[in-house]
Amino acid sequence: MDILRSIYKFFSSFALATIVLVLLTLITLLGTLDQVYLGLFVSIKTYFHSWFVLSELPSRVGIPIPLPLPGGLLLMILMFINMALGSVVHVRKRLRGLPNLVTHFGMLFLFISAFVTFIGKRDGYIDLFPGQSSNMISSYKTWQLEILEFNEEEKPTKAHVIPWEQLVGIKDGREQEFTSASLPFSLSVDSFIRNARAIHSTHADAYRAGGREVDGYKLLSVPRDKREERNYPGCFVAVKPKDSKEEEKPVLLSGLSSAYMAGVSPKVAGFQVGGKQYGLQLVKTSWQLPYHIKLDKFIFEKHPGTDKPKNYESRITRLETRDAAEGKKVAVRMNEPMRHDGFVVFQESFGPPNPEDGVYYSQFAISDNPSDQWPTIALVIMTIGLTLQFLWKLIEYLNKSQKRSRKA
Amino acid sequence: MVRVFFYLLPATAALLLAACGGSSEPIEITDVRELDPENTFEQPVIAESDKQRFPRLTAGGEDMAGGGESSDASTTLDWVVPDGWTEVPATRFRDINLRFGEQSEGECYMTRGMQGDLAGNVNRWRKQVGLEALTAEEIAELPTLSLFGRPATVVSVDGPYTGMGSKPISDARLHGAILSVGGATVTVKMVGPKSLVAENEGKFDEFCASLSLKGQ
Repeated sequence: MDILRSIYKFFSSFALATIVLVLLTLITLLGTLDQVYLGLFVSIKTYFHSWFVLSELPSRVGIPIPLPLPGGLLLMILMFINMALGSVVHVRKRLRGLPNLVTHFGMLFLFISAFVTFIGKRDGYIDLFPGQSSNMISSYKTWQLEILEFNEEEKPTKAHVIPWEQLVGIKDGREQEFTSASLPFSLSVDSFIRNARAIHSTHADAYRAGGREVDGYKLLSVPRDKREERNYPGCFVAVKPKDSKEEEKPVLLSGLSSAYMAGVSPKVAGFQVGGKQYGLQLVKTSWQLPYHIKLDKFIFEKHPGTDKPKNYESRITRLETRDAAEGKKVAVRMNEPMRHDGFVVFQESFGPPNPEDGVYYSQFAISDNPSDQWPTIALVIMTIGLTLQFLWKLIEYLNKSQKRSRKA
Repeated sequence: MVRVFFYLLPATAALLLAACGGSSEPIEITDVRELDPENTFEQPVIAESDKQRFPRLTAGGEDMAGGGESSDASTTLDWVVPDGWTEVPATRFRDINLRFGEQSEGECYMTRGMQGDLAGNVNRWRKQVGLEALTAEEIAELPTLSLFGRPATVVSVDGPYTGMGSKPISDARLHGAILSVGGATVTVKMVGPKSLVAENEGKFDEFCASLSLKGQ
């Protein structure tokens, strides 16, 4: 019982709150500084989405000792527990303490919304030229290997997807087999490289690429870019037919093959098993919107006589199905996203730069966040709590002043 | 205690072996998605050749002497993209390809293996903004900056710009550096609306200073 009481006292103590706040400040500072070396994505993962951090920042300034620290995830959880116990459970329940309690509920709710965002939020994008429609969202940073089934007209009918989480662990020298009961072959993937280039053996830099050569190409590992979205993975894949002793045909896959222009079809590596056509491609991780977006018009206005943009916006139609005759007309502008069905569609950017035909594609950032509006709710709760607190204090002060003036 | 150690030893060894290499148990593919064959938007097509799948590195490919291709600069060079600039994929004649400006209307690119000598390249750039050619003496008077540790000639000219693969710009500035050593020429060229290029000349110098051979 004493142990439980000690644990309770520890987790609800001011000392823990102070230590956690100091450490949070420290990792925020280090994470921000290390962003210069690691890039935004890796820095956030290392410092803020982790249980523990072994910060290499000191070694970057000539001190060859890594700095061990608790990670942002652990600190946030400790802060949440501390606040829940110290300010909600531990505090005396009385009317006077109600505003304080409401404020802390708001703060706890903010922590919860941050955690739900951490585990549930997905960000991606859709590029559309005017007249095009799509519901396929692509990730900025992660990739997937797709086995495509083609019909007799060589059109894709089905995609068997190997997700990013299963690919990233396949390092050089390892081999991972993937099977499916509905496919007449298995796949063996090896040498998955996070940033690689398929390089022709006659290329001046081909000598730097170790490993196998497949149809005149090798896989050259290049340094990871700090900006994760600029890393293009590559790997070797061998197709192993289940019911024959056919020789395995290795295929080299590069993410750069699918780094296509908006609206242009990617080229996949084709192969046949049992007379049926299949294809392989490394593409950005994708998922679907529950509706289609059709770009009707992209408007780009400049300030007169300058190249500075005055306004850019997309006039879209939200379609329930791709072939729906009618849909809801919406204008998506900077800071004016479309919120529908749990997804938020932002006007992100456009391209290509200086198009020869003057036609731009519009890029939409799509955010799928179950707790999208929760921070607003948390802020409203905190505002109510703080307003009540201030009013309470004001009334107390006025009462005291009145009493003092009566005494005088 | 000793018994625990003997139990743990083979288990640890097995874990280490599993982590270090060799193949593991097959993984079942569970995510299967139906595709609409009639949806032509970015519909994947089967490549006719590897060359079609890896277009960036095969641009020009077999047509070029020695079977060489446009080189991927990131394998041999290091550079830093200045703040506010963005990098776009390299092309056959642009080994490093950068953009700047709110609408990416300014561009800066590095090209290796340019044809012609210093005078030829200086006057080619002058011609692109409608200016007369300079004499060898006048070119020798042009300022320089350090590129790969050597003095590169700086050309900064204004006028209506018409360049290969770029949109014409009525009031442009072309600001670039040419390094010509022996038979090899490297150019770094920045072009765009005059005011925008003028604003970015400091960043151009930063970019040139950041260029180095890998490992140096």
